[in-house]
Amino acid sequence: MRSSDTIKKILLTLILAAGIFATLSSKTYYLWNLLIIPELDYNSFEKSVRYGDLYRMSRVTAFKEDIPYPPPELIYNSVDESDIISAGDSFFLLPINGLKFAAALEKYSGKKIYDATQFDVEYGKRPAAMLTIKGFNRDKEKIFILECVERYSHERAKTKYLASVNEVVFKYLYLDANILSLSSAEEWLQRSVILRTPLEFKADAYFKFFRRLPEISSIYTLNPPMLFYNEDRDYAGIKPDSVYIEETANSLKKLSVLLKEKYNLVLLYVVIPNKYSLYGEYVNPDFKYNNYIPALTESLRSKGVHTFDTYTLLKENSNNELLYYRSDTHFNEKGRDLLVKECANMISLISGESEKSK
Amino acid sequence: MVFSSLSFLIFIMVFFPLFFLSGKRLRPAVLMSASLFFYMHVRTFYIIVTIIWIFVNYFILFRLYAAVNSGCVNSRRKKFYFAAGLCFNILALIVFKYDYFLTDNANALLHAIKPSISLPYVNLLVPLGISFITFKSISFLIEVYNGNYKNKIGLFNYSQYILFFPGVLAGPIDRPAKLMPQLENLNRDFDSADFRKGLGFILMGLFQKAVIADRISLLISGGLNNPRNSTGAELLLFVLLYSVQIYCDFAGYSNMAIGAAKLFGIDIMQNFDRPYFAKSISEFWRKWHISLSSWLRDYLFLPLAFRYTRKFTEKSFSVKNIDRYSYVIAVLVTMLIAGVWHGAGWTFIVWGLLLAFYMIFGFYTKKIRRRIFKKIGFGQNSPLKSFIQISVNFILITFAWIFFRAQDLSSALITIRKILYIPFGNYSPGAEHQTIFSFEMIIAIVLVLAYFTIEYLQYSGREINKSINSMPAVLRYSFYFFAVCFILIAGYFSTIQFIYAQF
Repeated sequence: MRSSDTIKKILLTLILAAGIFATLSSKTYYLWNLLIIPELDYNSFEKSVRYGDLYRMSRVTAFKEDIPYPPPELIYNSVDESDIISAGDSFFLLPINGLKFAAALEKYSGKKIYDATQFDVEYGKRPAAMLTIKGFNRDKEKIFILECVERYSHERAKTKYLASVNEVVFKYLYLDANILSLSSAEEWLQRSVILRTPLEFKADAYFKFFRRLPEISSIYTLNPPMLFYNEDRDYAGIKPDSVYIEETANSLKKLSVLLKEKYNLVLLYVVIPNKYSLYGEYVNPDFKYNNYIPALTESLRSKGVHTFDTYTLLKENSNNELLYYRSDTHFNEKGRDLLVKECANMISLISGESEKSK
Repeated sequence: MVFSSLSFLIFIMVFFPLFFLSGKRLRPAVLMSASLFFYMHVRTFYIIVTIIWIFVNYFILFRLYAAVNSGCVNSRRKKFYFAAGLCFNILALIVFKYDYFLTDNANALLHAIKPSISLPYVNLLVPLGISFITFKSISFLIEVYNGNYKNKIGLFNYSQYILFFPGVLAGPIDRPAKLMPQLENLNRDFDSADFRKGLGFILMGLFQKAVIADRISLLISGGLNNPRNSTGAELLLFVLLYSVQIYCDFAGYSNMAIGAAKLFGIDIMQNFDRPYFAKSISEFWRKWHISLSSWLRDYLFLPLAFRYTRKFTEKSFSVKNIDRYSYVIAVLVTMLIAGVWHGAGWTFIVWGLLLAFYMIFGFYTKKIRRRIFKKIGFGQNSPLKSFIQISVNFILITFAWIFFRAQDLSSALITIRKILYIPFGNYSPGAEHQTIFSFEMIIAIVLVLAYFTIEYLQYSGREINKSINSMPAVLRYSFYFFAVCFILIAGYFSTIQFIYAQF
């Protein structure tokens, strides 16, 4: 064999070894932890602080916020023993510190909750599909809390919640083996000490010279230092007219009827305001909220769907305190508490109505 | 998996050396594994639909191949299988891709008749790269039907052709005659020249995507998503930059696809040939997304213009104008399908029809324009004439992109109205809004100008690649090193998807 061929083979083997190491690092706990920066990692319990999702995307030091991180308390009730089922997206997996939404609600309301969100956020996108799979006992009436962030509320209500074919498709989604995902290897590289210095240096330099952040979290204010998700800002540009509101409300009404008839569940719909809807004026003094949540609440109530005006609740009860993390898209403990209390009130109301009707 | 992501780098670091280190017999399996991995990386479910799709297509193709090669030229069987193949692909594409669009429009109609009636959305998970897979499948059917592809077709190699990872998500839509023989013969040894060329294409693609396209995307997305919040002058700059963004985004993707294939020793077709230096819309369409435009030309436009519409127009129009009318109908149908292929929405339909209008207008005014240029005194190769033609062409294309980019027709019309009538509004945009006077905007414009200067040099015959290759090794590798550093420092490596991956 010629020496040049041997050199080529050695080089190819080295490249292969590096690629395999990066892939395995994202799949095995020990390798993952070997080079990772714990506070940038949601999966790691090693550090007592965490950083917000928007900071983890931007990596600009000016927006760094140390969030204390006690280990999360999760609830493990079975579907049958629970009074309430909750499903939602990332807001129900938060806040970063303290009790998760469902755990806090269980503590506050004294009712047992089956929190589907902690198993898969897909449940919150396709509730009907989840309920088919779970096949719980429908003899006892339960409350179904469906949470959705404001920016996805219309689209999910219109196209996802009621799509019947998803009940079949949904089962196949579980064939998605994470083992094929390289995004975890990418995440590992980005959160590892290998890329920490160059990534943070570049992010800081870009911010210093251009006042520019990565697209996904490019909206910011420096007083107070706060990051916003781009989709939030884009959603603020939408002017929800009566057709838009009615489309959402009608779909949710249909879902509410379906849940009651098929599963004996009473729907409580909780739409969480975008961070930009609450704090847009920090970024743009001329910002005016598009009034989506109050208008939707009114329409849903007129159709007999249980919900409450989360926007007005948070806006009027903040006591000049921030209810969302500065460096994260989601609410903090204070925001969670306000919503949990109102949710508990609604649950009492719904339970009272059910008792009366019996 | 985005080509400009770390995921793709890791993917290549595993499969590229594995391909050459494995024995020659194992290479087809390694390449197939790479393609399957690439495809299944996002959602495993996609592959189930795609495998069914491949099986059905292969069955039809196999029967068609047998019918074509049975010796009977106009056999019914041949026509039946060809029609079945076309129907299957087109119907599947409609069901998967146009569900929302068709249901929305049907509901709007039903609502006008009886407000309580509405159709539900089927809401299927759309397999990745469905438009490209469909066109590849149809391409194979047509080539076999016309007798242009005569080699035996095995299921494994056919699947390899459909799923070949560099082009599966957003093309190029390679023809079977070019790609199949290469996929059937993967015996070549690792070639460092191919490796260098492949890396060169990937670097060029990265530059176009990360340094130009994504930089521009950050600057203009907010403004174009909410045209109400921008002045006309801002929107004018944004749409001009969008023309550059979509070109660099897609050309960047294509170059990275070509580079990735080259690493494995496989040549796939060029997709762009400096389209903004075209002097007419027809020429632009020949230089833009070449694999799609040549597909549409060969399989749709030419058969329509020279075969089918001739029969149709003989009855409808005077024989004297037959070729003109054939051309008009063929262009309208082709560009309408091109528009619909890009997306299920009225904006894409308007975009396609607008391009068709340009081409028809150009066709009818060809002689007049020639006479005007002659009267002014422009020669055949006058630089000023070329400059005017290229500039007018660019403006027309940019105007059409407004519809392509807009989220709906009303946003497109607001953008146009503001550009034409309200160039300097008194809107106070606030800190979240990208103004046209920012330092970064200036940097972006300088980079764009620098990039098009390089393209102009290539357009006017300078062979930059050759100049680089003829440098002494030390200089050449220093150049590569600085190019990589520049891309890493100046590029945006975020999660911005390739625009064409959504089609």
